[in-house]
Formats: sequence, C-alpha cells, structure tokens
Amino acid sequence: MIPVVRRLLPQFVKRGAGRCRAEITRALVITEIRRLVQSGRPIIVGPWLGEVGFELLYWVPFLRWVISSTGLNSSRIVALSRGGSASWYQDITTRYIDIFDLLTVEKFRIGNAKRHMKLGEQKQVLNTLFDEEVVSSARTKAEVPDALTLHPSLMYRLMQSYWWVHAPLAWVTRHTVYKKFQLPPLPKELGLVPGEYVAVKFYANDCFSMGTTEQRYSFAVINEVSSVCPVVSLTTDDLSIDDHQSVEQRCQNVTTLAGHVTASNNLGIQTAVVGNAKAFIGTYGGFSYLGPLCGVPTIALYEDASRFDDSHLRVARAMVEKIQAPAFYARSMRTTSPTVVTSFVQGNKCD
Amino acid sequence: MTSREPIFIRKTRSAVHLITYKGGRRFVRFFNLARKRVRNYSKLIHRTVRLLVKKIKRTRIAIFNIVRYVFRRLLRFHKPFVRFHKRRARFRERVSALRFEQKVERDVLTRGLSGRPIILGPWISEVGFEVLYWLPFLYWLKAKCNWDPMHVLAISRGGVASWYREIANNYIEIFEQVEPNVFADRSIKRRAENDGSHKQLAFSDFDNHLIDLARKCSGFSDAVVVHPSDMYQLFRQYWLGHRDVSYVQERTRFTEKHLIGNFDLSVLPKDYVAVKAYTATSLPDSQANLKILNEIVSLLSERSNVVMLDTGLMIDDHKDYQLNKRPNVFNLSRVMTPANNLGLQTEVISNARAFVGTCGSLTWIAPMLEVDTVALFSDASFLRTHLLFARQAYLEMDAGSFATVDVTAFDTLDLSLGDIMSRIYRPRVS
Repeated sequence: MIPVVRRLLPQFVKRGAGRCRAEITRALVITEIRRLVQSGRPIIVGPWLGEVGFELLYWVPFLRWVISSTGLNSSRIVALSRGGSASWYQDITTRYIDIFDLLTVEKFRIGNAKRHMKLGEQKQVLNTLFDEEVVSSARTKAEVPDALTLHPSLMYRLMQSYWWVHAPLAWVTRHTVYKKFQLPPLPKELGLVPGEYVAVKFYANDCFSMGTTEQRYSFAVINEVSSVCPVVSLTTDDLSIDDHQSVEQRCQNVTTLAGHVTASNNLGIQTAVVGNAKAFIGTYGGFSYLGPLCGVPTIALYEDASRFDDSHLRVARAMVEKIQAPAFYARSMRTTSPTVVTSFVQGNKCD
Repeated sequence: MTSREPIFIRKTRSAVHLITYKGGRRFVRFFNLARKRVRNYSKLIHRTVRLLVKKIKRTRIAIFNIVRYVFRRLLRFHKPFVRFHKRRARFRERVSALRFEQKVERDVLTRGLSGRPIILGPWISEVGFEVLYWLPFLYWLKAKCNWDPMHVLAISRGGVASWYREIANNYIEIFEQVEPNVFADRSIKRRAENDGSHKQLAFSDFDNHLIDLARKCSGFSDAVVVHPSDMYQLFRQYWLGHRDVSYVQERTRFTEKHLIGNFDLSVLPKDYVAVKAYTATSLPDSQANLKILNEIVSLLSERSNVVMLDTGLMIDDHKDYQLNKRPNVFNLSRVMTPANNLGLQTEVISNARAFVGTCGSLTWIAPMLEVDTVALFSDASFLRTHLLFARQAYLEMDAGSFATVDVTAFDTLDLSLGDIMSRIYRPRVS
C-alpha cells in the first residue's frame, strides 16, 4: 500500500514531506546541541572512528558551525579522533586526544569491527558501547570526568537529509563552516623541501578497485610524474587501520613515509606532507579532500563514476569554491592520461 | 428452327424468348420482392421493439440502481466526514503523544544534566520492567548526562544494589524502610488509584513517601528525582505498538552484569540449574502448567542438581508453583527475605549452568549474566514487545542463549515431555 501511495504522490508533496522531516531533525539536533552548550560542562567532540572523508567534509566543518552558531567556548572542547589529526581541529580546540593513545591498534580494530557489525555501516549513526568506552577513557586522560559528549551521530542525523535528497546542497553549507587548515610543520626527518615535490596516494576503494588496469595506470602516472618532479607516496600499508588497501609503489624517484608513520601520527604527517606539496594526486575518496583543505592543487582519479555518491563530490566542489582553494579535479582515469596528470603537476589546467 | 440456322439468329431468338418470358413474370417478381421487404422490415421492427423493451427494462434497472446508489451515498454521506474526524483525532493524539515523549525526554535529560544529586526511583513495580527497561534506560541516561555515581541514590527493593552499582553508588532498600505487609497494602492501594495497572505511570503517594524517607535518611535533600514514570511514559508508545523497537533501543544501554558475591552460596552444589517457577500472566496457575513444570524439574533433577528460586514471600500477586519434592532439588526459600530475595536470586542465577523459569521477571536478567536461559510460557499475548526487544538486546551484548518454550505445545500434540525425553535418552540395548 505504502509504495503505491508513494508512487501516486506528486513529487512536490514528497519533497515537502522530506523537507519537513529534515527541519524536524534539525530542530531536534539543535535542541541537543543547546542542551550540551547550556550545561556549562566540558564537551568531548567525538570519538571520530569513521572515514576520513566524512571527517574532513562534514564533521570538522560541522563543529565549526556549532561553535559559531552557539558561541561555545573553545576551551570547553576536547577533540577525540584518531591518527594524529590534531591539526584538523586546531581552530576548534587546542585540546586533542588521540584514540590510539587510549587503545592499542588491535583493540581499536576489534572494537571498530564490532561497532561496524552492530550498525551495519561505517557511519557512526548511533552512540555504541565502544564509542562510550573510548569516551570514558578520554575523560580520564583529559581529566574532565564530568565532560559530556557531542557524538558524530548528531552530525550524521543532520546531514542525512542531504544524502537522502530531502534537502538541497545549501542544507550542508547552512550547517557547516569551511576553512583552510593551518598546516602542521613538515617533519625534518623526512628530508622534504616544501613545494618541491608531489604527494601521491593511490589506494583501493569502491571507485578505484586496484585491479591490474588501475595498478598499471597508477604506476604509469607515478613514473611519468616522477620524471619531472620528486614524488612522495603516502602509503600506510603497514598500519592496516582501515579497510583501504594501498598499493606498494615500486617506482623510481619515489619517497615513502615508511618508518616515519605510526597509527597515532599517520594522518598528522600525511597532512603535513600534502600541505607542503606542490600538488596532490590520488584516488578519489575521502583523503582527496585534504588537498584543497590544505590549499594544494589536487587531482583525484576514479575508475568507475557509478561506484561513488556524487553528492559528496558536489559538497567538495562547493567547499573548494567557498575556501577559494586552488584547482580540485575529480577525473576518470579513462579520460585522463598520465601526460595530462603530469601537465597538471607542471601548473597547467586539466580541462 | 433447324440446326442449319446461323448461330447469331439462334442466340437472338433465345434472348427475345428469355426477355418475353421474364417479362411475363414481372408481377410475380414484384410481389415476391415486396413480400421479402415486408418480411425484412417486420423482422427489423420486431428486433428494434424487442431491443427497445429490453433497453427500457435495463434503463428502469439502471434508474433504480442510480437511485439506490444515490440513496446509499446519501445515507453514507456523513461517513467521509466521520472518517476524517477520526483520522484527525488519531493524528492529533499521535502528535500530542510524540510531543509528550519529547517533553519527557527533555525534562529527564535536564534533570540528569542539572549537576545536582539524583534520586533514581523508587522502583516498586514489576521486576521484569526494572531489568529489561528501567536499568538499561538509566544506563543510557548516565551515558548522556555523565553523572558521578557518587552523587546518585537508587531506591528499589529486594536487595538489588548490585544492579545499580555502576550508575549509583548509594542504594536504599525499601524493605528496610517499610514493612513488607505495609508495602503490599500500599502497592494494592496505588494500583487501585492507577486503574489496576502495576506500572508507575505517575508519582503516587507511596512514591512520594519513599522519596521523603530517602531524602531524610541519606542526606540527598536537594536531589532531583528521575522517577520510573519518566521511563514508562517514554516507552509507552512502543508497548502500545505505535513505536518501532529501534526507538527503545536508542534510549537504552545494555551492559554485561558482573556481580560481586554478597551471599554465601557454599550450601549449594557447584554445578546446578536454577529454576524459577511462579504463576504469572504468561504462565497462569493451572494443572497443565503444574504438570509440565513438575516434569521439567523431574527430568532436570535426574541429570543435574536443581536450585529452586522459590521465595515463599507474598509481596506481589505472583506466587511460587508448589512442585513435588525430589532428590537433587535444593530450595532457598528459608534464607530469602523481602530485603534480599532479588539480590540472592540474581547471584544464584549468575553461578548456575543454566536457568529455566517463567518468562518474565528474573528470566530477562539471566542472559545478561551470560547464563543460558529457557523461558517458559503458555500465553505470550503480553510478551510480544518484550520478547522482541529482549532478543535484540541479547544479540547486541553477546549474552547467554535465550530460548522460549510454549508449554501449550505439549498439550496440543498430546505429548508428555517425559515420553519425548525418554525416547531421546532411551538406553541402548546391547
């Protein structure tokens, strides 16, 4: 009965109902945020256990929006994330706790897998026992026993309206504040000269499956780019924290971060490397949003455009426009030859 | 006319003959034609008249039908308005229930976040609701408000401080404040005021009395109260079937319970099955149920020790099934008091190999203690929402197994549990 009614309903009625739902959710989320803000107690924002892309594109800008719209004092905030991503939260709070300082990688992986299994997805749409366990340890570590939690589920609840097409792109821009990151300094032990290298991160995901064709293509790109400029590969294969499989880059003239990155600092070091690079080339996915946020020209490559949700790409493009970041291209590898990528690295347009 | 005549003369003659012959039948031909026409027209007229009559008949029926339809519509004219009115009333009721839920949730969170000491309870209604909803609700509330358990006081009965240990460091035992017979009388009075319902849907005089007593004897004079009515009002729509199970799941937290031994259980055997057989709506007092329970306990006692969790107390409207005495069956009723019975039973269950009991009450807590549980019932009409919720919760928390058995099946199939077991465990004949 319901599907029939749904089909019979005119589009504008459906959109109206969706929009009403979105507004109700928004009101509930805002009430919850106000309750937290008005409590006057410290607030732990997180724990962020999900994908990098959602953190960069939605979570961190959402927190900025919370601060700007409620006047929440930054000194009350403790950011709780993983992988040394403190620099992403620098304009939100100076107090950052890394989950890998609270848990071992193994415990994190098991807990996260259990959480994933319970929710049926990576997104933290609910505050699970594992989240609470992490927050509880963070409270002890940050010495804020009375701290409340601003959980990512609030952000997910709010943004779902956009992902479910109940609200336009403006819905996201209305509830986020985009800013470029303040770059962490480049670790000296890496021996890299700022602005003199290209950062590369090819890894397997839904839209870049890393089959033979993709591997051959990524090798060709790295080889061609490395002939004109030093290349730094951001592969973190040895950590295996998430479900993305990196490709071992066996090309000449390529520096890797092996030996310098650990579970608790990998994102921080990668941010520093990307932020100081001449350009960033990589798989289209969450990590590729880091380029524009660091003010670095970026080309993100995918193999199959039907395997990713273009709603995120639209948000990324709006973000690039808002922060006036340099070029950000999301291109199919079928139409982008390694020569085009090399020419992009040399400062040419990719159109 | 000979054959010597030329062909064209013969043909001409023949044609003339033919013409003159036909011409001679002109009148007959005309008459035939006229007769044929008349016949045809009469047929046509007949058919038309017949059709006309039929149509008139049909029209008459049609008119009758139309009139009847109009009349019926007129008779039912008010129905869409009534339907609309009812739907509007239902919608309003629904919206007001949702608003009320939101208000209750907002209020309870405000109290939790107030920073003042908190009194949780008093819990004076059913054990099942306390275990399955009240405690997980409080765990959720604590996760949301992050209160300090040092500043929280729980009020309940039956020595269940261990249930509240992680959310409230302070506990007041109702039976240490109120005599059991007074408790029973006041509970009956409370239920009479509450349309006979066990549920604490609002503050009763007895609740207020207990809270006042707790404030006086514990020093929580300025505490805010998180009353069971908050939980009952919040989850009521789920029990009525208007809310999805996920609504309750989102407002509850289940954690494995790790009990600290408060009782001396050395009198009990090391390996035993705990059994709690009491009369309830789910397993009413009947000869059939008594027979089944006797058979179950008998079979269990043949293969293992059995500890019966009979209390022998008459605090509420549940009573223990009086089962036959058997060897290997231990009974703790003599050490049970109103002030310790639930705590003691919980500890006995937590040490058991398995638990078998009436579906409800402590049966819900057994899987949370990682004890494999068999819940018996003969009437599941009141259990539907609870079973759904409990099963989902146990799945989430890696609890002990939870199996339900409808004992009416044995009656329906005219089977005896003993027969089945004896067939399964028939000794091999060499």
